Amino acid sequence: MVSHTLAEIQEQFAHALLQPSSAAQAAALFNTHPYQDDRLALYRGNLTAIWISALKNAYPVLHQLVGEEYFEQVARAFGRAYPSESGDLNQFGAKLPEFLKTIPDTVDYPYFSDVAALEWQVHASYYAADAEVVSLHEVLQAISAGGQDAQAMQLTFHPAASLYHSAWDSVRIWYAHQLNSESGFPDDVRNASFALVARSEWLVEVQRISKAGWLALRALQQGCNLGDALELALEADADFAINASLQSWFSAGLFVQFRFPEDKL
Amino acid sequence: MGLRTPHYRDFLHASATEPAPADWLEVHSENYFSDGGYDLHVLQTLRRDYPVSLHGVGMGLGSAQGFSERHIARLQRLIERTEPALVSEHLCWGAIAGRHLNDLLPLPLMQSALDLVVQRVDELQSRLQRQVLIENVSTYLRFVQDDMSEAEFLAALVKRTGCGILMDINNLYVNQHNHREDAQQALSIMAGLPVGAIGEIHLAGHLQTDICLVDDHGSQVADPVWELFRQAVQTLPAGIPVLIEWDTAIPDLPVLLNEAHKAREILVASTAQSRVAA
Repeated sequence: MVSHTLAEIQEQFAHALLQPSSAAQAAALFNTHPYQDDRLALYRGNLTAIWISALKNAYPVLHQLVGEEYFEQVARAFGRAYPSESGDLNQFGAKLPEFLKTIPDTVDYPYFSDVAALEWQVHASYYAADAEVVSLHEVLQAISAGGQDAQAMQLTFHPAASLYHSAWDSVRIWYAHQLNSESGFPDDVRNASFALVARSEWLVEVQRISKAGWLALRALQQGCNLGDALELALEADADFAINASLQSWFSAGLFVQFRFPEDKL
Repeated sequence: MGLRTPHYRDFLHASATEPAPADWLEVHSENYFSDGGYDLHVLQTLRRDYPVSLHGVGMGLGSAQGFSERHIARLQRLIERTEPALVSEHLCWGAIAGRHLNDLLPLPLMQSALDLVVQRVDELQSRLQRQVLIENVSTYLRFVQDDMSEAEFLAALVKRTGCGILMDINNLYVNQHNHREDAQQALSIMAGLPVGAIGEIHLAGHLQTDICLVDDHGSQVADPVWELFRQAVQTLPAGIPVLIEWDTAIPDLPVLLNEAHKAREILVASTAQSRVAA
């Protein structure tokens, strides 16, 4: 009998699960049993079932878009190509949007990858750290009490908040696949879309925003002050609604901290 | 009772209005590894009313390669956040270099595997500063190179590390059926360990197939498993926490509570019996 180390046995076992063709080589590892191959296949089935269920959990809209059979096919191919990197399955699937771009049969559906990217942002937001949100009211109070220049204010994003943009109308596609959604699939998917993803009361919300709003928020996220950020928005859209946008950003729970440059001193 | 997402509302509602429907709750540790969000919030809320047990499914103590120190660190954070009464892991492996398989894979019961798991459990217990329970698992395959039975492996592990055992009665039964192993013998080996070594008992349903019994935690506890449980509680000290696990096709809470009630009746009957015997 050939003797193997524990590491060798586990390598061979894993390969037998990933590559059914190498199962014959692994067969010698096991006590013989009439149903040995079927039993090994049970573990192989578990492996793909685990990939499928973890990805379904993170990508419910993609699942609806492509249907059960194709989703499972994608999950199997993805699981082989992109190994799970953690014992925590909630982390599995981060690179699915990247993977979708490489599959030839999704050529006619170029928005799949972008919709998946939005879903991963929603997934990450759901599990992100908690933090206390600042309200617009608090900010205004601080400004009126301290006499600071509102334009100079810098804002810190909540760990569960992120910005999203796509060359396709992926945001509307995402909305169309939510439970009880009133919005339908877009007539023309070839419109760029922008959104902010944030969590309020444990629920992740995707709020569609304009390109101008997205430009301002990206600037804020990168550390620009409010004045410069709003300037960018107004350059993109002279009618950009400053007050309404500020109110909706704050009520979405986007910010956890505000400061004025002199706070640093 | 195992706490699963479909029952969050039942428990949150109950904890506000009525007496607790379960004595204590067990969760899969990895589901609460995040730094925030709803699941962790629910666990921290229920923690005020129930003792909690953290049951790990992703560490892979027996993985020769790909074992993650970061996984221990994340478990440590969760322990700080929830102050659990019990912490447990499985006697299994789950990774090779560069890839996690995210399953409870069968460990070759070799001397070298025992040495490795002893080292890992020592490290885990010293990092966590507490005793960890290790659970016997269901398997569909056994290895040519096995040097001992799973019960012997666990008994040696207890002696060498001071860890405890989470004895899964259904897994003993499944393995008896799948490998013609003697579940009674496994029971008596584990029952022969020092008092306190068995820290928890699991009960669950399995699926009967032509190929083997599959440990799917998707149905009621089978009659022969209840019988084995009855025998186990007669040989073990009283007061060991017992858990009903149900992970697939999760039913409404009353079905689970009924299973828990059944387990409680067997425990009560056994205590009464031993009092008569004394």
